[in-house]
Amino acid sequence: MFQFILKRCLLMIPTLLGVTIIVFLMLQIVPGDPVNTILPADATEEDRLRVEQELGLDQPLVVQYLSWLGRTLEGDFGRSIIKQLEVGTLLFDAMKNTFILAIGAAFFSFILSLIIGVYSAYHPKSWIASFGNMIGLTGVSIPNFWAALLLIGLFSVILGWLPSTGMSGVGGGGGSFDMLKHMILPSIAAGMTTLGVMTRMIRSTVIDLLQKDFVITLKAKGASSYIILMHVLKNCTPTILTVAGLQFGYLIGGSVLVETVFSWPGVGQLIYQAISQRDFPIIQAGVLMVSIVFVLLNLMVDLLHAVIDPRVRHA
Amino acid sequence: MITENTGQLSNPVILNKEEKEDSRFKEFSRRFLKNRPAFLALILLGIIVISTIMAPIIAPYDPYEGEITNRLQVIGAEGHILGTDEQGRDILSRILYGGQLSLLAGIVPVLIAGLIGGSLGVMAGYFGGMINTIIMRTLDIFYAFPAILLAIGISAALGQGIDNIIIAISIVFIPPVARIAESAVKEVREEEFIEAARTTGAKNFSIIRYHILMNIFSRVFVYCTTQISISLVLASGLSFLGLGVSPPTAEWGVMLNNLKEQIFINPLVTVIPGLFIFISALTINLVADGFRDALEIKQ
Amino acid sequence: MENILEGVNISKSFPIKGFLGKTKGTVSAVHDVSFSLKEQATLGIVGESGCGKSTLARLIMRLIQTDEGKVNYRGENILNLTGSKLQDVRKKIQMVFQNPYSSINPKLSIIDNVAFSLWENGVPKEEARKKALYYLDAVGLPKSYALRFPSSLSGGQRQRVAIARALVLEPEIVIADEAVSALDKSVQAQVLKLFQELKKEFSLSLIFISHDLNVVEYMSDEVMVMYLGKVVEKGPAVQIYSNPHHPYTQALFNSIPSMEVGESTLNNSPINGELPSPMNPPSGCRFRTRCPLVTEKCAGDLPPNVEISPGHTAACVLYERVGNEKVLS
Repeated sequence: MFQFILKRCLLMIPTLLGVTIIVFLMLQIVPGDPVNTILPADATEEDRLRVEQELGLDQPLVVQYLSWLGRTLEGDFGRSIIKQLEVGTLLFDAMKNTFILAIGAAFFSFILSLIIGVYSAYHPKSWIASFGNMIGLTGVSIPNFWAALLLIGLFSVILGWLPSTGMSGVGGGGGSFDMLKHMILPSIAAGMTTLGVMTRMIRSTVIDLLQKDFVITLKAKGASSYIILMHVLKNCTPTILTVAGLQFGYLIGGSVLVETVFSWPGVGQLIYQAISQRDFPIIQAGVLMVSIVFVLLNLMVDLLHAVIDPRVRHA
Repeated sequence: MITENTGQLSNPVILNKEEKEDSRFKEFSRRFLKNRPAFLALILLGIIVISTIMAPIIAPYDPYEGEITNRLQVIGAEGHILGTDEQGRDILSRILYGGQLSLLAGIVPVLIAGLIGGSLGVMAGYFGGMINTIIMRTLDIFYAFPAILLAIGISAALGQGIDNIIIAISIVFIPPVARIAESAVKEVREEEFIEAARTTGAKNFSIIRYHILMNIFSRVFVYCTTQISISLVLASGLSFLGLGVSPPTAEWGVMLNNLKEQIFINPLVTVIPGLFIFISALTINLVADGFRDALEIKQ
Repeated sequence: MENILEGVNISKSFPIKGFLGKTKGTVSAVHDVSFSLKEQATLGIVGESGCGKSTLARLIMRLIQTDEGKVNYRGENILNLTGSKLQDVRKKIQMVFQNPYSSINPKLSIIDNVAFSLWENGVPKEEARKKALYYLDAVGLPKSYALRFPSSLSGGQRQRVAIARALVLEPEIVIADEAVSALDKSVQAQVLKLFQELKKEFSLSLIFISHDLNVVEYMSDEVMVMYLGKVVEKGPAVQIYSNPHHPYTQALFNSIPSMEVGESTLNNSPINGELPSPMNPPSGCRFRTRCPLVTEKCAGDLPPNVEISPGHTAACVLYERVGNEKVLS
């Protein structure tokens, strides 16, 4: 097991390096000379050279990358051009809020998809199965930012039941009940796609399992339906877990749009604002940070998978 | 056993290709038509696509002209069947014109990714070894990013514009298409007919063309069709963030972005543009499912 | 008669790759195998699955690169050939594969499956199809099948297509690798008969590889028995079948269930144990771990090839100094 963990962690290093390279290159494709955005229009050629040297832009790309990587590894993500704050601090606070939203969305979608998925596999002709079908199709087709707008329109504006925006963030006044109220609509909107994907996946996994010889043997032996359900769940756990882990990663990375609609103070919202203000250090660091979290999550899923399913360890 | 008249075998004209292709296509469409939801979805999708193409003819109003006094009309309002937007422009007309860009942004990235990703995957899968390692490991890095974030990052760096959105989404879709193609090729490569072709001294190019591509095409094709809906939703999302077209150009995502501020005045104002994104994505998904079933591809 | 094809001391081992591509060990698939195929004769190669007979076929076809040894076609070593010379030889030696469900391309019509080999060799498409049609007829497929796709054909029909494809290049040698193993018994008989007919019709020399002893006996003039990558016994089919010498050959024949009434084969001693891993095969005689007649000598040097009678050799120490038989190696 230790060897497996070590191997996985080692394999992660080139991936993370690749991620930093891509994120670094992303900034290189920004059209226009970054020096021009700093200097006034009437700057002399000398000024240009001085600024270039200060920023290290006269160095070869590889040197620029390495020094950027060095700074990033030390936790120095640079300063926001517009907000004039440390990007690291900004991101760290936002990340907490993004996590909360992802957990809310995961909670909503995982539980609901498990219930609908398993039930509709068992009763393919029931109305819940048709409903599950619809959810599966809707989930993978609906733009979550539109779902967010519809939810606000219905529950905030028309019915006035739930707040649309104004989430104050972790530790900002309001208390936990207020936060829960603010979480409901964003969680549903963000969790829609996951709900659809997972419902489809769980249903087909369980249907496959129910046709396996070992389940038929269990039935033939007269095992109670509870025992059979336990066998089925145990066998589909690794699959569900893997997909759930990946989906959680997507929830963290993919809620940019939902955060924007609800003005949720997360990484997505931060990136959205940065886009309109062309505040590239924030975009760069935001993408990098979320991707690292994403990679670490995938690693955790793999390890968890190995704990549950010993076959993985030896593959 | 061997007949004497083999020398004067019937004219090879009987081997006309169309007849052969025809029977395959017939079989495919017979199966597809049996799938009611997929068939209906195809019709609906066709209507949407054709209407957007014919927008200049059928749109009742100019999509860029509106009367500010006539703004935010509700659905079913007189003269404006789908209402008007925040500047009093006719929503139906804007939907029709905007659909051209939105649908294009759904299809084009998949086409590009299908070509580039497909070729990379075929090369990696067929030649194996170092070529495979270099191509596939490089593409693996892209899996470390959540797709939407990568697309946002790239298109934000490239700058505003629907063309940049298309490039960004294409890049995002290349790795998964390559993976599908690679694993399909690896499977086919193990088949004995590939060895058989080698024993005749066939060139790699012909083996890929006749034996590999023909056998992986339907799998890659079906995968790509499922990606169109994702691409459509993703592109409208990027547009929604303000990365796509600049106003006043109509596009479904950007329409939603403009209308979202009005939601507290008219809570249903965002229904229509989103509904079109949703319905298009939904019908594409249903059609893709229909293709998959008709081609008997297990995923 | 002259030898049309000869294998001389052919060896091949495959590396086993571990973590990070390090070589963990090698599998010795074919080791020091020599054979000869006489013009218009049939050489049967028999052995359990995993004994290297399919690898041998692929080595001859140059689908895999040989480590050591030579394959001589009409006296010329074909393993070094490249370019157009290789292309010429490829046409002379063709192969029929084991699995008819895998060996023809499901996305090409029957006729194109056959014609592909020709148009790859520069024959214009229409002419290639014409010729393909001729060979489809020769293997007994109705002309109406030409435009169909493989999915509508049975296993036996598919194998006929595969045979037609091998024949269309007008080879002199056909290697049939377990060509009937995947077929039902009744269909097997038809296809075997077809092979016999085609061999006569097109003056072919055959290498017939099978794990089925009865099939090999029916087809072959000469027989070669392989075990774990090595030849243990070879000679004229009649002699090997009537008078097997190597303990492995004997054990193999003992394990054929008899159809005779009243003759129980259950008392025959089957081969004990499992096939050893080819990653580290036993030293000396590779069969010694399962041999009922094993002696101390077997673990030492490689067993000599002893000539039992003209053309009939067995690689076993038991016969080394018995009588006046000459020790070959």
